[in-house]
Parts: sequence; structure tokens; C-alpha cells
Amino acid sequence: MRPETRYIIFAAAVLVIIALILGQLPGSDAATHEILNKLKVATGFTLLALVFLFGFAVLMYIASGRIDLSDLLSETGDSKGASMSRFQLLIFTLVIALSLFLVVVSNMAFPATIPPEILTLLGISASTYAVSKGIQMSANQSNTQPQTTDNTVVVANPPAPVVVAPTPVVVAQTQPPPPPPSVMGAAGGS
Amino acid sequence: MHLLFNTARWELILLVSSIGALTIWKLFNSASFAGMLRANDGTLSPARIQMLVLMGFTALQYLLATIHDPSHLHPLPPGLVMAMGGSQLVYLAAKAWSLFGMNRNLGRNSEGK
Repeated sequence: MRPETRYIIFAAAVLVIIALILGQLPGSDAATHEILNKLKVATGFTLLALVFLFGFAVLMYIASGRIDLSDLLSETGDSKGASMSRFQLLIFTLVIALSLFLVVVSNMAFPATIPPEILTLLGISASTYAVSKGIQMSANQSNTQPQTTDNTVVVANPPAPVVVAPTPVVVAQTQPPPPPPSVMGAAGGS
Repeated sequence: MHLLFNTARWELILLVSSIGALTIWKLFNSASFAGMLRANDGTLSPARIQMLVLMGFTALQYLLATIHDPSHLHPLPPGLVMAMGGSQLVYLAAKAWSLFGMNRNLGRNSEGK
């Protein structure tokens, strides 16, 4: 378990225990109600601080480059360079998100209805990106599989043939047996 | 409790707006836009130019309308949505023609060799 998860579970457990103790405290209902309200406010501020710290960490990571946005528009594969379909999807998403943000900030409420034209526009934009990706992928695949005139597919990089080399037989060379000890004395003794 | 609501409201406004602004700033500073208006063979593509112009016009029109009256989300004119759809169709057709046409030419060249 990650340390952050452990801290969050620990904080939640502490809050639950405090709430249980406060709920079981002897005293009038009004006093208990007031204490629980204070606990609610304290929990709210703690959660706000946590959300702020997470958001601030994301901001710092983007600013320092640990969250890298430089390849956000780049196309992968054979066609290098920025992609128009990615760019239009990004622009429409940003414009509609910014508009929604302005509406929410000015009214302090989520809009009751979202016009269908906006959803259609986002759908068109995302579909264009997906179809563009599909075209790109199929073109890359047909590039890697060149075809001959008789429609037989030629594999660009055929696998190397497997050669099984005979293992050399190593014969252990044994030392020749030592010559028998000379029996000179015994032969020429007469 | 009122203080908690106000703090939450301003915190989210601050976080969302700063993340949005930083993303746009980093994007325009570090991301590369090279080759966006060019087809795969390196020539300037009219299909991409028309899409960029119409996209800029639509985005600007919508943003200005919202800034002018931020009480609700404005509907887009249906004609503009249809024009956007047509524009993207032209872009996709040009892209497919460029990519698969290039592959066909590559195939012909390899046959000639």
C-alpha cells in the first residue's frame, strides 16, 4: 500500500473515531449538535486543504516540466510533426471548457441545459481525431507490408534461419599408462 | 459554514483557472506546431488550411458570445455545425488520399525497380 493511501485511511479512521466519541458523549442534544457541526466544518477545511495541495502539486509538476506537454500535439509513427486533428480537438475542448467555467463562475450554478449543438461539435471533433488515427495506422501498416505483383505478401524482415550447429565432441585425453619399472637388475644379473 | 462554501468556491476557481492558463502557456512555449499545415509529402495542404480557418472562426465566435453574455451556454447555429462537419470530412478525405496515394506511388516505384 502506498504511503499516501495509508495516511488518508488513517485520517479517515481518526475522524470516524472522533465522531463516534462525540456522538456518545453525555450531555444535551444542543451541545452535541454544536460539536458535530464544528467537526463538519473542520473536516471540510481539511478536505479543502488536501484538494488544494493536490492541485498545487499538479501545477508545480506542469511548471517544472515533470508533466511534459511538449508532445501533446505531436503525431507518432511514420508521420512526424504536429497533428491537425489533435490540435482541433484540443482547441474545441478548451473553448467549451472555458465557456462552461465562465458560466459557472458568473451564475455560481451548473447550467440547467447543455445545447445539443455543442455536444454534436465535440462529437464531430473527437470522431475526426479517431478516424484520422485509423487512417494513419492503416497507412503505416500497408507501408510495412510491401506487396508483389502476384498479390503475395512479402514480409519486410523475414526471421533469420535457425542453424543448429553440431556440438563438438570433446574426447578427454587420458595420460598413457606409465611404462613398467625397469627390471635391469633382474635381467643382467648373471 | 458560509466561510467554508466561499473558500471552496474561490479555491476551485483559482486552481482550475491557473491549471488552464499554465497548460496553454506551456503548450504554446514548448510544443511544436511544425508541419501542421503540410501534407505527408511535405506540400502545403489546402484542406488543412480551410479546416484551421473554420475552426478558428467557430472557436472565436463561441468564446466571444460566452464572454458577452455568460448567463448560459449559447447554442451554435446549425449551419455552422454542418459546415464544421463538412470541413472535417474534407480534411479526412484529403489525408486519406495523400497517404494512400503516396503508398500507391511507392508501390509503383518499387515495381519499376
